[in-house]
Amino acid sequence: MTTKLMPVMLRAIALMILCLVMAPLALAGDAIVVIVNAANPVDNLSTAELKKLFLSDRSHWDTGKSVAPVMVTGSLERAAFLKTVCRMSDADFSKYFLQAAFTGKSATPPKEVPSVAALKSFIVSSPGAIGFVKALDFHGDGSDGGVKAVKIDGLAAADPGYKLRM
Amino acid sequence: MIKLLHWLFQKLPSVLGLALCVGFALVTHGQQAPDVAPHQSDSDQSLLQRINELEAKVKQLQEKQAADMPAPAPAVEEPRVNSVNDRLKLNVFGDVGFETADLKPSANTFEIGSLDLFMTAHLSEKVSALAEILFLSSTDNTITPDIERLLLQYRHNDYFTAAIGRYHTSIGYYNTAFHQGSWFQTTVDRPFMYAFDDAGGFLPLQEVGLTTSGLIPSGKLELSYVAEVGNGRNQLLGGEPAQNAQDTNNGKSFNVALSAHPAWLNGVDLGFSIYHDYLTFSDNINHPELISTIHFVYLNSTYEFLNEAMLVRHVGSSTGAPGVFHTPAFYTQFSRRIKSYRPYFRYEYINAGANEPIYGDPTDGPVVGRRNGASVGLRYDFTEHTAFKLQYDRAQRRGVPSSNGLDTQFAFTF
Repeated sequence: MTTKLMPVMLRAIALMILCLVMAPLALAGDAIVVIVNAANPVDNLSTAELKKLFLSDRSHWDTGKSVAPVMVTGSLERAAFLKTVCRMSDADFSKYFLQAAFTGKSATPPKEVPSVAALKSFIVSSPGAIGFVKALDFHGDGSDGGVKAVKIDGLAAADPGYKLRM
Repeated sequence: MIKLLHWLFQKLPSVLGLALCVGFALVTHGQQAPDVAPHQSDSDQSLLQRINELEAKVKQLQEKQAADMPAPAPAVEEPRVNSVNDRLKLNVFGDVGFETADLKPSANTFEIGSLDLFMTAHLSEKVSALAEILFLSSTDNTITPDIERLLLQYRHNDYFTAAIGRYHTSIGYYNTAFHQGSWFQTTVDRPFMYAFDDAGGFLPLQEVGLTTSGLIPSGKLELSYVAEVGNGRNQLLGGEPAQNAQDTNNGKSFNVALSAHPAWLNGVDLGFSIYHDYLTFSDNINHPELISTIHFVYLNSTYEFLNEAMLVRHVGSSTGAPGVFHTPAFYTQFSRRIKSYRPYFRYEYINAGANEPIYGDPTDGPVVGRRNGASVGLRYDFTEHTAFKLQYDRAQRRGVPSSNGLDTQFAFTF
């Protein structure tokens, strides 16, 4: 009996290991990774800080560089980011900046770019830029060139409990 | 028993594998996840082979996605934030409608509310300009242009911004949150305590002077301040409220406002403001004016809950006898968004004494008196930038019969 059961048990254990290995990858797949210029010393931001940066409530980094938020126009991660971080719909977001300008606040909406490549390129060329991409669009292996991921509330995109997801 | 155990162990991997793979497929939905249906191979070697296949497919997908992306844009210039390239931005706000009331002699009427041309421009990274030109229709059917705001602004950093020109005084919350553009506000009109001069308002809501504002390093409280010094306003109500080119006295008005909007109380804004000025009457006697306000506001994309209270202190009396008069006022407004609809309710109250030197003297302009009432309405945003509002008002005023009114308004921006 033991001889018969062994291969079956081995299969089950192997599959479980496979799924345990793949699970973080799968979880990271729908995560949104916040990225900044590699020279930016910031490694971690709270969700509240992130909101301030994208709503133009904070205009400068501690280094003195101007904050330049950027996002991909019409992307799925943009809608998810606005909902999770800013707690706004797309229309609310537009209205917010219109109203901010109307009230005399020097609020400038994030720059909009057409693609992830353009977003990364902008961040690479702008020391104060900050943006976000899907986890699959950020490799973190050096191929992203000049951008780095920032932890949110102390968690990386692959960590359990990471809230910024699509 | 052994057979049952054997069967369970035989099926367990398949069930587990299927469930986990379906979960994996769901999680990676939208990213064209590779087919991870388990092979029923009998050796560890085949599992390793399967992992390698999956990794290869993920890599293949990533390469395909990268290939689908447009070619990387050429090196982008420094962010155009505060750049002089896109110098002028123009927004137009307008509102038109129909109103009816049972208070004679008002008649049922279509009306043009206002046409508001709002312009901003970044002149350098730290200097910007703001101008707002307003065309308002009056009850005598004339349409008059008005420089509502004109400001030259310098933003040093998040903690200090200074602007000089004509601005909306930071008295309370509503005055600087909504300004003239009706499209922004939920209701058809402003609460009476924040009504502009042309709508019977009585507060110095517009000023010519210097205004500074910014954040205060205050940890979790997240405080911000506004400090203003200006000409103050003419003592006559109903006329031009701001002293645009000539102050009637050398004394200046001072206004200080402090508010907190902590991130841990998302949507909450609470604060106060204190305004002081001397109003010079035609007999050259200065009458001190002190206006104190407090507010508690809760705002998010669904709920709007505005609460403000105010106390105005004037010295003197309309009869000439010495006296100190306090005029209290408050309003509360609640609305909830349901898709494109936003039903709302507002109750407001003000009580100015009959002998109040500014608000009770008919020679100084319209008498403010006591008034209270409720408004209920519905706002419907039928496009992103166009709203229809329907509002019923019930008002009670000292010395005037109670009245009912019905307003409709189309408010838009482009």
